This record gives sequence, structure tokens and C-alpha cells, in this order.
Amino acid sequence: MSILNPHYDSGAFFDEMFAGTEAAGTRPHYSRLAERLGRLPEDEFNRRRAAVDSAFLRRGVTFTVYNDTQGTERIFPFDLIPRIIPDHEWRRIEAGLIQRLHALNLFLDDIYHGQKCLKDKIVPAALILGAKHFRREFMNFSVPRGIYVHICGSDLIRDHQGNYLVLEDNLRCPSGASYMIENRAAMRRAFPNLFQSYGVRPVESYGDDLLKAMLHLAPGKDKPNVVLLTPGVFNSAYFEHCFLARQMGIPIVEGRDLVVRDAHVYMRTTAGLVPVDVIYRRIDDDFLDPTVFRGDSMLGVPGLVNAYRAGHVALANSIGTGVADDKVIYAYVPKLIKYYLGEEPLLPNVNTYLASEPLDRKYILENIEKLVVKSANEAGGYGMLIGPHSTKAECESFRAQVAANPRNFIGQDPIQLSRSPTWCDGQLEGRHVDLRPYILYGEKITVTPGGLTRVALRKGSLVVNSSQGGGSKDTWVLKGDE
Amino acid sequence: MHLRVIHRTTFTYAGQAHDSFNEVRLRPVDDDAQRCHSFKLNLSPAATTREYTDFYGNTVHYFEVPADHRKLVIEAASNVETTPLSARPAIPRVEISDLERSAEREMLAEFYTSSHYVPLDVELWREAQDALAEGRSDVWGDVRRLGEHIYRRFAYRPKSTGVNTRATDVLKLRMGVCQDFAHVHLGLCRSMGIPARYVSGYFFNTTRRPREIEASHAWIEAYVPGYGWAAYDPTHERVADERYVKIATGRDYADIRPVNGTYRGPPTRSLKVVVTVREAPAPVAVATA
Repeated sequence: MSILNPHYDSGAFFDEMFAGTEAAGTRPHYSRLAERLGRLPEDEFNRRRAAVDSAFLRRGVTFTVYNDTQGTERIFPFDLIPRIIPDHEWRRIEAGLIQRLHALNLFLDDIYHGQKCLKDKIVPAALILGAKHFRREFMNFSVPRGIYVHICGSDLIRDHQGNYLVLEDNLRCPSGASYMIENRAAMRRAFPNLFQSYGVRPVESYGDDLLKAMLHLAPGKDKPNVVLLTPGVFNSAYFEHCFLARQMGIPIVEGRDLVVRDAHVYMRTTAGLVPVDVIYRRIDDDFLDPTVFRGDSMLGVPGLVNAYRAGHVALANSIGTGVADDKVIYAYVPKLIKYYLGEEPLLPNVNTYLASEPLDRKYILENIEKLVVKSANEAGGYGMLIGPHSTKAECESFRAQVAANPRNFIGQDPIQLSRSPTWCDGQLEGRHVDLRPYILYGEKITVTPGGLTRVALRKGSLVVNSSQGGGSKDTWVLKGDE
Repeated sequence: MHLRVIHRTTFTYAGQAHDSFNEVRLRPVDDDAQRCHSFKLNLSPAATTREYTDFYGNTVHYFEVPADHRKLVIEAASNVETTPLSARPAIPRVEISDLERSAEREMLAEFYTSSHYVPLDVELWREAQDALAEGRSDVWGDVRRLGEHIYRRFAYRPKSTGVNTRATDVLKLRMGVCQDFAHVHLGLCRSMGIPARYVSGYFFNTTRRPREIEASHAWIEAYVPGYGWAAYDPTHERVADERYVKIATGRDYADIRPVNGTYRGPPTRSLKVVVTVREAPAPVAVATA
């Protein structure tokens, strides 16, 4: 018996693989996969699935869940059915993401220099000046090469018609690129022949591209030293930090491994102090340097900010980028694209209501049970209400929070996220997915063809975050359209 | 008035300290009311200083002392010339409604919203309502009445509060020092929608008795459209005049910490701060050949 489910039901959602409600209408770019799965016996499929799972465990591809009493590292659940994106769709996504990152960089440069967009009233000044991640300390500071965001992970979703929408931008320390690469390795082992015939674009060059973007920040240096700065083994993404350092062939360091002397950064090694030119930091701004930011933090490097200010070391991403991925500022990104580039946004936003605006606030408070409400500065699915899926008490609690601190909340129309066939309890069923592509800004802006497709494994769930019961799929960007 | 200010901060550690990184805001600002003619930062152990201008226009010097040391002395010496009140432009009467309509107000948002030491709790708003029970007047009039209210209703008690005391705590205690009074005054002004900022600096006490302790001082500035920032000292119930030397401004104390840093070494250390402010002769212009 094949694993294709003759009773597969796309429901009222946009299905990535099937055009109709029946399994019959396979989309052209999935037809070869459907053919292959059609010939694959279930026990063979299960055998490959088990092999992939044990490979993940062996390789230590894990993440940590915070606020969990079991407090354990877990394997990121992996689904063997890939998500496939044809060339013509990808071109549009790619152009849209490049446009967006370009505009966001211009916005950050403006916010930390002339603040023209505030004077021209494109964004209310009160929103920026009141933003948690606005770093006054770096006003009028010119970042190396003028680039603020070197690594960006933007979350895309598709609505019921299959239109791609931007859900949020991650401009601080976006994570997940390691899973993109590990997922690909797993799929190559599970379906070696399918890959060859399909013409899937490679994602494995991500490490090289990332290193190139880092080296771009140390112009004129003969052999610049790049390091990856991690908060340490207790961080949820520690696996990824090690993985990327290995991929780039650079040392991974903790705060205590670095030392500042005369505003230059050095790494302690058995052979003495070695100068450091570029730091790919996976530590939030607040914890970088206790002299300047949180005095109670032991994670950072005292004096690092001064070395950065003196122009002796580059940081990626730069300090203060969080002001542009705030969920309230998100609502202004389409306007910012028009303002800085004079172009129409190629990738639209999800329709968003701002609690800081009186009319929008009224709408949110009156319709909270129909909306998705998010706190401005939280990530990873924390501090979020999905109105239609929540109890009366949960809605009430959010209503009170929004009324008390409107600056901190936005409301969005719930989107019927697209679904992708996923192996659940012994059969294929539709599950909601999103997509996080990785955008690098070095000499120019590039998007790795692929990304991390996250899938909400619980039936009906819209929350794809790994910390809240999500899994992932390999994402295939095709050279052609089939 | 010409003033000579010496501000010496001494940290003495219980053992050897090292890897000390510091940021200091000690240089008096240059503005319409004062000019800093000279500034010198003396450090012991000696260290190279670098500087930058922060978001609020304050000068920040930063330096590091990586080697072992038992004592760190940071001495700032400045010569400042201040303008008498009579030579400054008069502060105009501006209606509250004109302030709310003014074009600049939006850009001053951070000065009428919550900040670390001044969370805009409803208690501050009530206190302000109380102080202005006879009705609102103009912007500057309200600022002064709120300041007078603090002077009358709060007791000046050194050591009754600490460096972490917030405006809302002071409201309950009804006592504090200049830093606390400034924070409460900010809270009252901001609750009434008046942009206000914290000022750190020095006060030249002309009636000082011998051996009376001198120290850093703090007061506030409120924004009056058409004029700019106007200074009021709630601790002494008066407009800041030529006896006041301004070092730095910010949303509250957190933005202007005069000396801020980290070090490695013994957790026990003692801190001694000595401030002297004296009238000085006008600097003599030296003719160069």
C-alpha cells in the first residue's frame, strides 16, 4: 500500500501540493514527488523516517524549550514530505525579500542618523522613541559598511489563495539556518534519486555565504579573524551556534573567552591573545557588554561596546536593529519601502491594527475574539493570543493588557495559513506551514534558495514555533517550474 | 559667574581589581546659559580616554584599566562660565493647549512618557492634580507650582533613599534627596503632559558653612514652546540661576550616571566622592606672539 492518502482532504485551505479538494489535482511542481510516493510502500517510508530520526538524534540536532518543567533538549520533529517552491514563485519571493531588507537597512540608518522619516511623519516619533530596542547609545554612530542587518530571517505565510505575505521580520539574531541545512542532508539520504531528477537548488553554500558577509566587514585586513559569540550551552540555539561555527570554520567563543585591551578585542587562546576583527554575535544587545547595557549580565564582554564604537571590531548584526523588527514598526514597513525606495512592496504585509492608534484600538478591543493579538517585543510565539482558538478568559486577559499598554500590542486578521501534506499518525494529512528564508547582506543582498518550512504538527494548530510543538520540513526551491 | 569645579571619585577595593571598564559623564555642557572653558579628566592609574557624544548631547568619556590596581581615582576639573538670569531671555507664558498643539511635542515623546526611574503611575497623576487643585495656568507656571508643591510636601532627608529609589517610592516615603525630588517633579510634569528632563550638575552654595558637605546636585528642565528647556530646582524651590552648573541631561538618572562601569576582582569596595565648587577669576586671555 502506498502512503498517498486517497481520502486526503485539503479542506477550505490553500494546499501546497493539491489543487483540488481531492488528491487527484496534484500541482505540477509536486507531480514527480507524488509519483515517487505513490510507488513507495508504507513500511519502506517508515524505515526511512526512522533512519532520519535516529540520524538527527545522533548528530545532536536539538533545541531547548524554555518554561518547560521537563526542561529538556528535544529533537526538532522533522517531516519527510518536502515543501516545494517552483522557480517563478521563488523569483518573486526573492525580489520581495531583497527589497524589504534594503528598505529596513535604510530605515535603521535614518533612525540612527537624521531621523528624516520621523520629521516627515512617516512613522510617529513616539513609537520609535518609546521602543524597547531603540538604542540611544548608538545615535549618530556609523556602522561598518553602513550595513545594520547582515543576517535576516523573515517569516512568510500564504493565505487561502496562496498569496505570500510577510508575517514578521527577525533582525536581531534570527535562528534556524542550521535546521535548513540539516534537513537537506537528511532528505538527500532518504531520497537520493529524487533529488537528482528534480533539480533542487542547493542550500549548503549558506555557511560560505555567511562567512563572506562577515569578511566583508573587515576591509583592508589581510587575514581577518571572525568568531561566533554564543551565550553558552544553556541557550536554546546552542546546537546551531556550534553548527554554523563549524560550517564557517571559525572559532565559537563565550564572553569569557574574549578580552578587550586598549579598545581592541582579543580571543584568549593557548598561544596567547589573538586579535578579533568581526564578531558574529548570537547574544542580544542587552547582554553584550555589562559596562553599557545590563550591568547584571555575565554573558557579555566588558569593553566590547567601546571597541565597537572605536571602530576596531565589527558586530553582526549591528547594535540596535531590534527597533525595526518590533511588531508595531512592522505595520509601517510597506510605507517605508515606498518612502525610501519609491517602489511598491512586492511582498505585502498581513493586515494589521495598531493598538496605539485610537480607532484601531477600539476595533481590537471590540473584536478581540476574532483577531490574532501579539505583544510588540516578544518572539517565538510567546505573548500571543489567537482569538478564535482561545477561551473567554484568555481573551479578557488580553483585552485588559491591550487597554493598559496599547503601545505594546498589535492585532491582525487571522490568516488561514496554507497547509502541506504531513505524515501524522500513520497517514498524510494537511498541516499548516510557514516559511523562513534567510537573507544575507554582504557585498550585496542575497537570499539562500530554500529556508526553514515550519509545520504546526497539532491538528488545526496555527502555531509553528518549535518551542510550541512545531516541526519542520525540507524546502525545495526548483531550478525550473516542475 | 566663573566657577571652578573639582569632582573626585575614589574607589578603594578590598584587594586587587583589574579589567576595569568605565564610562563617565562629567564634562559640563555648553549651551546658552553656560560655557565650559576648560575640562580635564585625571585618572589614577593613568589610562587613555576616548569620548563620544550621546543621544542627549552629553559628552561621555570612556577608558579601561586592565592591570591590577587597589584604588581607582577619577577626577574631573572644569572651569565654567555661567550667565546670570538677568542676561537670559525671559520665559514666555504659553497656554497648555498651545503646548499640546506645538509641532515639537511629538519629537519630545520620550520626555512625557514613562522612564526607568519615573514610571507614570496613576499616583503621580493624582499628586499633580492635588498640587494644581486651583486650576492650570500656563506651562511654566504649572512647572513652578509643581516644584513648589514638592518643596513644601516632601522632607529633605539624606540617606532616606538609595540609588535605586524610583519616583513612585518617593511618593510613598514623602522624603528624599535632590535626585528623588527631581524624579518626582519629572513624574508630576509628565503626568500633566509637560515634557520634562533630568539634569545632573553642581550647585555653588554661597551660604555654605565651613566643612559642610558639598555634593553633586540634580534638578529638572521643562520644555516651554518658543523658549526651549527651562530649568527649575525643586530641592531649593527656585529657578536654576548662575550658581548652577549643568553636566548632563536625560530622561532620568539612568541616562546620566556620572560614573558607570564594571571590573573584575574583590566584590567589596568603598566609594568616596568629593565635590568642590568655588568662584574663580575670569580666565585671562593669553596673547600669543
